[in-house]
Amino acid sequence: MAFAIRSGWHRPAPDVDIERSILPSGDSLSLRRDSPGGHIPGEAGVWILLFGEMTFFALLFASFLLYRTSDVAGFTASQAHLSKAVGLTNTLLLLTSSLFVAKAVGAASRGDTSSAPRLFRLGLACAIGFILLKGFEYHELFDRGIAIDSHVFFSFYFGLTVLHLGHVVIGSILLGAMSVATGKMLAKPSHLALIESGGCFWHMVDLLWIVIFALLYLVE
Amino acid sequence: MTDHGLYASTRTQRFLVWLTIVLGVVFAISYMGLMRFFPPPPASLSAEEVAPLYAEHNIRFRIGVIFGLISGGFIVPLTIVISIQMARLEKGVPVWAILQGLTGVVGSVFIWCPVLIWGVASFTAERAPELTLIIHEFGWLMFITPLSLFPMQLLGIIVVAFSKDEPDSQSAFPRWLGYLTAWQLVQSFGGPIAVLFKTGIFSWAGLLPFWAPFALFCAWMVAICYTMLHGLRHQERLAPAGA
Repeated sequence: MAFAIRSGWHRPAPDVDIERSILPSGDSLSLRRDSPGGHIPGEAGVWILLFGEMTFFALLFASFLLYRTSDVAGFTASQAHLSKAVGLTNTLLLLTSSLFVAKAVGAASRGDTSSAPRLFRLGLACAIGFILLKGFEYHELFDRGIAIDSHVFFSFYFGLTVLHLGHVVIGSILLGAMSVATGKMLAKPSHLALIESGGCFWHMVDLLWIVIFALLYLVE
Repeated sequence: MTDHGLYASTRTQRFLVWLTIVLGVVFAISYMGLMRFFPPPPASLSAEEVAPLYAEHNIRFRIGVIFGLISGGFIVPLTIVISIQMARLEKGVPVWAILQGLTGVVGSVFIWCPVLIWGVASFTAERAPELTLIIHEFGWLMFITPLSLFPMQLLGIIVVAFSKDEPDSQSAFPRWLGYLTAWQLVQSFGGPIAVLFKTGIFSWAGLLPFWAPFALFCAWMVAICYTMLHGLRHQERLAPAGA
């Protein structure tokens, strides 16, 4: 049986959900299944990173709202300089890339070495689109003479979006790496756990942007 | 290597980890208790406000500088142990161990140097306040912004934690440490942003460049000292029987 699991891992039949097909015996996947109650995406450890980052950003968001209460009019006036259309396009780009990445992780778990890398590359293309559009948005603002010190709102705008952009860049590097890694058969179950964890990181980057978009572009 | 040699080596490594812990505590006492730079002074202070930081309690501050300079390299012994432990697990030339070791040593310079610069600020506290302001800001930006050196050091630790061929329960690099280190890596990009801000959460006294990395650095130090000691204990148990 152990042999069957292992060989199944290396050469799964196409379109067969490998998780479900080998789950009943399952011990080679014990890393990924800690309880009968459910499956933790990635593995438990990655949630140190994900919850940690989300807590950190939550503190930043709370500070934004706190500063905002002291000067609601100024914040609203500054917000008018931002283009909702650009923000929305970026939101759609990240949501689309998240969809590609989710499908890519699914393909990787089925051992599909042709569509997983392609889906990761599509996700990466959306991420690059996001980065370019952000650059364009910064350029527009600078052209109009808006900088970090124009208003506290813009301190937050540049601080939060630059910080998030750093996460997008790190995530893009991960997406590139995962598209290379899933081009060949994953050698160990722990490699799939890493791919899933990378996917979770990307979903977090997406989720954080949605909150940033709501706070900076939409709150009125 | 003989059994005895291996055992001595793990004992030396354990000593080095404890050396880091002791020196780290000395550094914390001199930085927080004697120099009183915790929490950090706001980045927006004027020259007239900065000068008294060094002029008042000048001798206490300078004693803090002395102990800060003695203990400022506290991370170096730990860095060496981490590199030895990484080299154990790497195949062939231990490139990640070398990178980790060297960047760790370079990084420690940026904990040590600001103390010396603050020492200069306090050395002639009666000089024109504008001059003290320059050296004060130089010290603080040197203390906060080089966080961006950390990623190179941390990258190897992450690679080893995820690629090693030993079970997590016996390892100095469990996978959760890999993820904690990855968090540390992601956070370390926030430091240089302090150059842009004088007030608020993005300034050197704010949440992003100071409080979050500081809290995470402390947690990471505790975690990695623990996993190093844990891994070493396991290697010591194996030493008499194996090799």
